[in-house]
Amino acid sequence: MELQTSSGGVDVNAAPLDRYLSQVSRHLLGLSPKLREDVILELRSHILSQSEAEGAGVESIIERMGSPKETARSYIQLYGYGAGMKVLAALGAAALAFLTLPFALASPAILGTAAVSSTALVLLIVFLIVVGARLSGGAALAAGATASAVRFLALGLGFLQAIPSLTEGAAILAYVVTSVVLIFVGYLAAPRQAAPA
Amino acid sequence: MPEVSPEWTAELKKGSVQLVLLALLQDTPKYGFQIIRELSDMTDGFFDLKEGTLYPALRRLESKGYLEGAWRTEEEGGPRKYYHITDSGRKALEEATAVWERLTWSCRQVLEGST
Repeated sequence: MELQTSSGGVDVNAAPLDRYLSQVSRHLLGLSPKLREDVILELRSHILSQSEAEGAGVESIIERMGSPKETARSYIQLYGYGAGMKVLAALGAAALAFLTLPFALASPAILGTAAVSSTALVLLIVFLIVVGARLSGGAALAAGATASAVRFLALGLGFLQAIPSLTEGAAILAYVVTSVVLIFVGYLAAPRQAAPA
Repeated sequence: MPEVSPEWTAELKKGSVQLVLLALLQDTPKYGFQIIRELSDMTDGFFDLKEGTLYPALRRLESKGYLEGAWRTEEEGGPRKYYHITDSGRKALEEATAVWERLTWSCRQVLEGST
């Protein structure tokens, strides 16, 4: 530290710092751009302050901070994944829910078969569970409700009338129950209050 | 300090971090790294906060309206985000301090009573 001829604050180690921060930033994608920038600027300021105070290289400070993912995690726990990710999850759920509808779409030979709709149903449930586990219970609830709404809308609009098997009371009941269950599937998979960091 | 249960120590510290932060910021605005260093120095290393704990804690207090952050650029060291206490932060600090005093008093009563 003493005899280094550091020329007026020019940081030779800017590259690893930028690399680290952009990796953290990538793990914060759900946050609003403004908030993300604020977090990244503050981390940059912290690393530079610590490096200056300890006379240690930026790289050794970064090493002690843990992986970009770990650094990002505490902010994710605080802010959640943001509205963007929730909307995306809901759109994904809506698309999958559409495929679960047991009526012929464009080509009756491919779509609308029992195989397609039941595969889509399994995928939808897995999707909702992943949303619940990785994003949040709220996001899963929103996505599940969207999927359910798509299915009820189809039922309400009479799209399903054309399918003879769905005119039976039992089949309709199963359809309705499945649709309701979809709302909560992901929510139930969400972890209860995260463990202390 | 030998630690039989590090989780317990961490839990106890965690419960007091917000109080400690508000108290530290009640007179002068400070920035993150400065807070880490001052807390550690004042408490002989007991409150040795990691950045992963401190910054989210500051932001939590900020979102509650107890603290406000403002960027300041200084001659050296580049821009820094200074946190200052708000009026409702002061009120919260007052209340939390009263609770803290009751808590420590109560614990002491039990600790002394059971020996």
